[in-house]
Amino acid sequence: MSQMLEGQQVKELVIVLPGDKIEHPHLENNWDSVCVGPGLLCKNGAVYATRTGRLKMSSTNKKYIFYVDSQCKRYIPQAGEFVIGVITRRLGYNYLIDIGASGFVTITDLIFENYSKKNIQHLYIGDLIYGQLFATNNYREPEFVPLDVPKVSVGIAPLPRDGIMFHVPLHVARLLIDPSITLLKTIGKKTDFTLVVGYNGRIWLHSEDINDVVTIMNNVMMLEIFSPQELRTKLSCS
Amino acid sequence: MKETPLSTCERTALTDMVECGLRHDRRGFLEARDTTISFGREYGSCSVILGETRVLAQVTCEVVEPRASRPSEGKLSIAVHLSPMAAPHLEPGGGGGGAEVDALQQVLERNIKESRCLDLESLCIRAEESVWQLRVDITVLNHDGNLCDASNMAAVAALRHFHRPDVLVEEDGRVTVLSHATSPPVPTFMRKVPVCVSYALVCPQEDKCLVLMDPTHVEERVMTGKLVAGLNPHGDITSLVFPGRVALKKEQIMKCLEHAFRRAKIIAEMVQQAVEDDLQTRATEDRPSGFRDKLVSDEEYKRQRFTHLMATKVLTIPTESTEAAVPMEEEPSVPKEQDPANDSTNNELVDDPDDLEESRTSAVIASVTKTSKNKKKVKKTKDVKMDSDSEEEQQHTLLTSQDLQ
Repeated sequence: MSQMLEGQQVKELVIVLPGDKIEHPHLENNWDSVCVGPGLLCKNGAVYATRTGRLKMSSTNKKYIFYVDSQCKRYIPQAGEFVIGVITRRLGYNYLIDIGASGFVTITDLIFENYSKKNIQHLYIGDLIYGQLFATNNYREPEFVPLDVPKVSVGIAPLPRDGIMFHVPLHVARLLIDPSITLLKTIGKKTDFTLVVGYNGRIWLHSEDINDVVTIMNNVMMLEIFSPQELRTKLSCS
Repeated sequence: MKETPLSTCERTALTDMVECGLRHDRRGFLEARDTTISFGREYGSCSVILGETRVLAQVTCEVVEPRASRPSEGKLSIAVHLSPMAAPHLEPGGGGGGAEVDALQQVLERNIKESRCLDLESLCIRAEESVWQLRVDITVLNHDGNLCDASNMAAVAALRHFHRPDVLVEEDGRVTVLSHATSPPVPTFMRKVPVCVSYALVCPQEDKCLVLMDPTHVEERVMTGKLVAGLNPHGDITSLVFPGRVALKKEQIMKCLEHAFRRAKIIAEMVQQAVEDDLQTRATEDRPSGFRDKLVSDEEYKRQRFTHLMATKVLTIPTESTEAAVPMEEEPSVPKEQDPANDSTNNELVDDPDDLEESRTSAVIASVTKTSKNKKKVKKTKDVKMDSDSEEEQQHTLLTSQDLQ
């Protein structure tokens, strides 16, 4: 679920295994207002789960969206998602970027805004690029556009070399992006930091004090084990 | 699968952190991860969990003909298996991690076989005709760094735990292996307990070298060199491997080894204790329970570790600002009760063994002052460094390019 709509309520239903048939009153009639999301498959008029995880239903005024929220570490590219990639190779004018998926993603060095052949943005192997994926397809490599701020401007530069990048399981990355989770705000009250979350489980973090960087990194990693509510109480009471 | 490429950001971040006296999991520089040794149902089956690194060792035995050059000695062979189960970049059959397997195997062979810690003469049944061959198979279940230490521990514990079947030798030389029911199995005799201790050497700048014990996988990717010492608490050094691109002087290596000896004592005791405990519980039970209740899951380990770190207040950002721009000499605003412990850890490697069981609060002790001139705006540590060499010594004793000229 790459975009959370305003005013959405998410309700957790049951834990499902692949092959389980989903039965819910909303699914029986009015198919127009039902959207079947990741982890679910429609077949012969019935809905089956294809992944292990918690079945969740999110509802706005008219639409119901069902999906399976599973814990995994391997990223599968989805259109519209924001990811952090690492430049691994250079082939002519193209750079190959690894986003943790099965294939590479290519960008050229002219893709940055306001740059021409004369004042090229120099990218080096090992740089981090943040961007959005478009047009993912099982048989082709996804299209990738580097960004500076989501939906606002095409990327000016790779992510700064300061700070640290670390890996988390995908469900932790989704929890961080979830607007209803206030963990980052709690940390933000105590110290300033910049955090860039990629849906592929890569997180870039920067703060003035290196002690804080390590602390925040560990706090975010704790989301894997503790639920956000537990974590909030543990962090705010100490 | 190829290993995920390491970005420049990760590399520089980790070296910067180490330079400031921090490790990414908030351990001390000379602090090892939690170790758990557990045994399975069969004799000689041992699993070692070192943080998130998991290794399983299994000892099996067979009656064979002895080597012509050593007719009254048994045989011992060690085999290491690294598969994609351990890490995604390893290939089945040891393709991707070929170099790793070789290095690991070499260290283990030197430590266990060539050190002759196991009494091979006791494995002899009939000289020149039949001896026991022990085979240790080590499978790495999860690779999170420091495979040498974990595999060594597992192999040694498995060998100590192993009991071979009793034999009946007839007049005409036939050997009958008796089952466990008929005759109780015989324990192996291990004189010394070989231990392997690994140190990662991180060089944030050319002439500065910091030592981390028990590196995790991330730290191993970022380190410039490594020092793997195989030794036993009696004072013998069984193997010493020093790969990488670091130059260290003799005094520095000796310091590392001194520390390694102290650590070896602790590990040897741990292994012996674990073996004895398991053999005792085995004697009382009808059917040994094996690994069933003893293995700690990754989640459980992380939960314990994080709870511990939060209890020692290392994982929370203090509400009072410690970021007043102060000159280098100023006292840090760390809680005062840490300071007595602070002093004892000041003398690196010349201190008492209690430091090795140092609490994780020592991570906070790396005192923190802000140098306003620092371009990177990171807090540098004061004199107290958690590594094995003090800064002053480093400047004098490290080989620089000038020395080599």
